[in-house]
Amino acid sequence: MIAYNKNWLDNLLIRKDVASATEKNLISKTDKIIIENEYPVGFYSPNYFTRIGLLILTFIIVSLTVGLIVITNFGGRNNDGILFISLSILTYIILELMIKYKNHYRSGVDDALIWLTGIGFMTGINLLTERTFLLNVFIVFLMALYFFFRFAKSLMAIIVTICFLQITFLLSIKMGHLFIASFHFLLFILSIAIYFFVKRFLTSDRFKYYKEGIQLIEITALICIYLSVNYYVVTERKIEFLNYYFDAPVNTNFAWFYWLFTIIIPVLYILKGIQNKDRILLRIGMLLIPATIFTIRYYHAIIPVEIAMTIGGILLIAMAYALIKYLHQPQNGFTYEIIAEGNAQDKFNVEGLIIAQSFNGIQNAGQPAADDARAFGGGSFGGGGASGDF
Amino acid sequence: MNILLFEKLHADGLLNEPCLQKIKSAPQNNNFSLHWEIKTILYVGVLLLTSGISLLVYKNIDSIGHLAILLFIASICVGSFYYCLKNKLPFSLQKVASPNSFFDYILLLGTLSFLILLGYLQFKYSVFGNRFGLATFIPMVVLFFIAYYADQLSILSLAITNLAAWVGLAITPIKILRDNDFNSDHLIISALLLGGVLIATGVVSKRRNVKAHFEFTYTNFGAHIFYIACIAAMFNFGIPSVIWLVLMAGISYLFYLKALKEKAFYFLMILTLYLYIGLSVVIIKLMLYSSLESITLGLMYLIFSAIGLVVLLLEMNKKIKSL
Repeated sequence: MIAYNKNWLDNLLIRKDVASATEKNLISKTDKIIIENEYPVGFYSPNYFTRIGLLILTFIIVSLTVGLIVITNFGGRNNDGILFISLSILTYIILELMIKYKNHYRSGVDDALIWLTGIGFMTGINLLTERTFLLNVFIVFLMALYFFFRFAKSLMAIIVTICFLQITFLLSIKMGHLFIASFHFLLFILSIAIYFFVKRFLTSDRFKYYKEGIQLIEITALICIYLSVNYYVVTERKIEFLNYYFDAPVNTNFAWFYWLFTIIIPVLYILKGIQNKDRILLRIGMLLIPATIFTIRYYHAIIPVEIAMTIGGILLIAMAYALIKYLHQPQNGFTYEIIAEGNAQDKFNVEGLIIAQSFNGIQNAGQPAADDARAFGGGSFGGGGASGDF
Repeated sequence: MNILLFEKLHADGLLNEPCLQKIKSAPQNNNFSLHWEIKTILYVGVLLLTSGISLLVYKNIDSIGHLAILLFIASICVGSFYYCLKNKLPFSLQKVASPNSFFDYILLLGTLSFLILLGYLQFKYSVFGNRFGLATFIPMVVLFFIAYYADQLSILSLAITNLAAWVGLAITPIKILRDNDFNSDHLIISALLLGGVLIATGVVSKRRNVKAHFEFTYTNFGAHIFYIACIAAMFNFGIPSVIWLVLMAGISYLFYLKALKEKAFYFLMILTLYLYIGLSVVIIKLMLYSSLESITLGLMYLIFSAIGLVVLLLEMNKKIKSL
């Protein structure tokens, strides 16, 4: 099913394990090199900067080509739909060829071609015929599912999950009033079901190439669970569920229920995350705390915002200080020290993201702060932020 | 960790016995690191506190409470700096590791609240009077001092941003293209000079081995400012834009040598993209001036040059990897 060379994918996984063992000083560097020679990887996967560059360039080339063809008025105005579909088929063929013969793997070119194939196909099909929204969502769902399994493209997993929820939403509307009124419960239960259903596959050997994608489904499901019962989302009827205005009357008798879950869910995530040592749960829980605070403040603003921010800031700093002091020596299997966990660390580097975002926001540091650069360069600044680690 | 894998590696003779034993006994020591989570809490805390204080100042600037606020900010500032002075490692011209990450953020807190304090003083009591240059100059000096004294890269970035503000430029990533009036010749010249000075500072830092690890930050800021100023200049000055392209090519060559020496693909990427933009500007301007005013031709040029750029990037990636 998967388009990439399976042997090399396996070797990549092995190399990853070996690399993380090396970081923990369990395997010597020379041993690592010997092992890597034994398990070669022939993929063309350039470093991060090149990947982004190639991604943008591929997008530009294809869209300019489309522009050129449209300008020269290929086959008259009425054939734009066919033009887009044939272009999408063409990009798909190029994509498969690039993977098969040029061994592109996460090179930016394949990433861009996957997206372009999908976008081109959807544009073409919509130019050709009128379709209901439901059918469109269904086509996107099928395509994303295919891309997910064929190219292990993890972002597709999010699209698959959201489309799936959207389809059940649209179908349940057709079922009548009872379903419309209880839609939030349905979404709530469905998201929980997705979370637990998908979690089992995380350790399964059959899905070893899809780990990242499965994690993304988990994250999407966790956020959907929260959103489906968040008081603000539920009561401010104007929520727009992917282009579809949800205008069902909300039974205010259940207000306490929504408030309860709005407050409990983040806490529950954090507690469970700590109990099970599950980083995803923990971080999503941390992320949702501000959402809950904003929800509460929206309805019950007790103190002015600047006072709340100042006090909150002081509390958070104090909390961090206490935690650092407490975890100075590892306690009950928790530590403040950085433990190398291979790539997992970089992928969910919340801090890097926040720093990059907010520093720009308050016009302080132009450069997305030092920590970011440190994460790129693997510690050595001599490499100009990108040493030979890639 | 995947014990089965390492057993297989051992069976294939790729891993010796003691190594395998070490791996087998290692996972028992399976601590869960909360490092990033705590750091995030700390960072959000500092951010909330400083934004809360600035809002507080902003809203109460005319009320009687301002002295209390002033004292509050000053005490945060003094407290943070006191903590940092007490915990800081001795100064050196080389890289000094920070004692812990709490230190970094408290220093950031102290610095930010110091800036707020200065701004407040200027607004309320006009400490610097109408000499607005001074109002940005003094914070800049302080920021540079802290950056060097405590070896803080994030504060160095702040200082450089402030330096640019002093010269009259906004250089944060979001604002660099939006807030600057690139139609002003004066501004472009200052930007070119600033870029040049920053790049030179980077070189000197490295050569003289004075905080050599600051070099990347200087060069990075300098390169972006310089290139953007060059491209802006192409549209403004009366002289042919080819001259600016030549200037860009010259500095790019230096960056190219540097990138190859340090295997820094980042700079290679930047110089390629900026040079490409510059070249395209020149070529499209040529097309406009000559009678070749055809959209089709322009599109063709863009498509084929982009394909060329892809090939170039692939080749350069190979070259860097093989070094």
